[in-house]
Amino acid sequence: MRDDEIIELYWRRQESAIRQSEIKYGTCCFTLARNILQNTEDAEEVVGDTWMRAWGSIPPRRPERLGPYLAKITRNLAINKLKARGAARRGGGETDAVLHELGECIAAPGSIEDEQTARELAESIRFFVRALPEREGNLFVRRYFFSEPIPVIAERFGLKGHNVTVILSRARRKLRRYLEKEGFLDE
Amino acid sequence: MNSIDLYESLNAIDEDVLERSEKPVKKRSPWVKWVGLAACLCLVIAAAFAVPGLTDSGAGPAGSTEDIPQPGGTPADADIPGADPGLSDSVQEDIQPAWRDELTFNEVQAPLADTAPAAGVAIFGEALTQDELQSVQPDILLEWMELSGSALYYGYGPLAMVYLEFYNASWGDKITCTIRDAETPVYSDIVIEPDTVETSEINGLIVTAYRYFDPDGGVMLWAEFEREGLTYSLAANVDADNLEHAQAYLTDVVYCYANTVSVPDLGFFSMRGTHEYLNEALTLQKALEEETFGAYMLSSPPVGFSEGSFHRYQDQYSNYLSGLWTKGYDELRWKVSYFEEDDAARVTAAQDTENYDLSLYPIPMAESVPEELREIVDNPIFPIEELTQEAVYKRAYTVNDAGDTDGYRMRFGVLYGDILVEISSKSVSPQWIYEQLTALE
Repeated sequence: MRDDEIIELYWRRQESAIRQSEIKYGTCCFTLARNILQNTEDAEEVVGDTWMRAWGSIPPRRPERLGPYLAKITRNLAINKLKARGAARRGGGETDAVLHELGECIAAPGSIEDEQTARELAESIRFFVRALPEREGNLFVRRYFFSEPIPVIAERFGLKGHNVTVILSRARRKLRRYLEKEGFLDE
Repeated sequence: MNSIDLYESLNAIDEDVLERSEKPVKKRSPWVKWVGLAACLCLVIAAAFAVPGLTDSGAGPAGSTEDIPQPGGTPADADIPGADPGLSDSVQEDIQPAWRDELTFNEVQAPLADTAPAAGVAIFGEALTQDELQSVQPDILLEWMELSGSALYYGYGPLAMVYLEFYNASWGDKITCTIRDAETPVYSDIVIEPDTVETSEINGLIVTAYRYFDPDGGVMLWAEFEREGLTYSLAANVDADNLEHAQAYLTDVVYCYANTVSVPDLGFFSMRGTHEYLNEALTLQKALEEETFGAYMLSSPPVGFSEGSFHRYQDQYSNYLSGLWTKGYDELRWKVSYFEEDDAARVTAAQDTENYDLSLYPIPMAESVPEELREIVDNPIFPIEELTQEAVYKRAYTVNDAGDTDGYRMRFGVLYGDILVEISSKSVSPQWIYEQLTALE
């Protein structure tokens, strides 16, 4: 079923919207949640919550791109669950690797306390990723948004794992310089 | 900030970017992409050469000058073993100089189009003087080599690098070469190297050469070596039919440098022209007082928006004053510049609604907007006397993206004589925008 047809189901408040979402995007949402949480049960729970969130938000929203819209919901829910677990129980594996890599882009660790700074950071990141060369941006997104393992990314783009690692490493250096320039590392 | 904060902030990535990442990028033609730094510089050079008076070339791409060796021989030719004077007269040589087999090209898996020189660092090009040209050319030149070049300077003064073109008139193409201090930081993250990179040794010079076959039938060649603290990057972009010649001529240039004793002194170069270069953040007050564009800067943002940040930038190609105000995900961008010839195609009268009325074009606009109107519909310019409140409302649209605000968005420009004000906004009232623009009259 096409995205606009699924969205129309949501708007008509027909529960088949959830079923169709699951058919079309269930696998990728589950994979995304599991990449983040490293736990099948938690991932399934997050995906189930994703459909509920979508049900609650469409309408009033009418997303232009349903897949990414659902992926963002899934990712938000998974990160919330991850945060609730605390650092000691993150699940290790890919998430820890991704967070460790992103840690290279920041200065002294500390939390962002105010919502305004968080929003400004998000907007800066949005701008940064869009400004990356397309291919580099795609690799960055697969790794740091979708938390995909390096071999999966290499397979997806027909590259060697080493090459993916090198490209990501350079992208992180750019991000760090960018965050410095934007004043996010001054704290 | 910690890594979780950063990780979480990635949720703001645009949904089209997320969608795009599902699919690998289609490789672009080598004719339009960069090959590492050398390629980056080609763009700069192309732009530099496009500036009237910047090069002294009046006849042909080589921009040759009277001291540049021409076909017919140079005294130095005799010093090169195997240099057959006949080879330069045609691309159909029968006799190949021995050195042309000495360069090993590493096959590159997939080059990446990548960044230009560091953002915000303008580079100015100046055609080389005879003295400058002679100081960087090889001690020996083959007959086919018609040499020209530019010095590229950072906006703040120092030399970034020297760019040379070795043009072969009978071949109708060129080998490019950049020379820069080996310590000069550059983005060079273009090449995805094979796991094992082979180098070649030509007369003691260690050279790394690469070759990439594009699926579209093009071939990119490039080679790098260091001499006495300087990095040389050679490149050629050709179609596959010209591969043999490109490899031969690129190797010729390497060979000439490998047989060169003199070492260029890049400290000898200094910018001759006075190029306007500005790149500074301003306060609101300074922005409003800025003499060129300040009178057209917005003096106060919509209610609830941040104080704003202002930027004055000028180099060879850009000249503007910009302001940015934000409120969470909402933003207002206001850019003031001179109206340029290139902008003329986007000017519309209010009565020509097909040029700007977004309600006429359903999403996806790529399908609904006729190709000949895309540029103007995307970003039209209204002469101020043509600007109406209705026209501004016709530019406003809303989107529904998760994690984003869904207020009005707008993008268009307004022309005040020779001054162009361009706005781009999210969640700012069209009425308010209209009032600010008409108040500038």
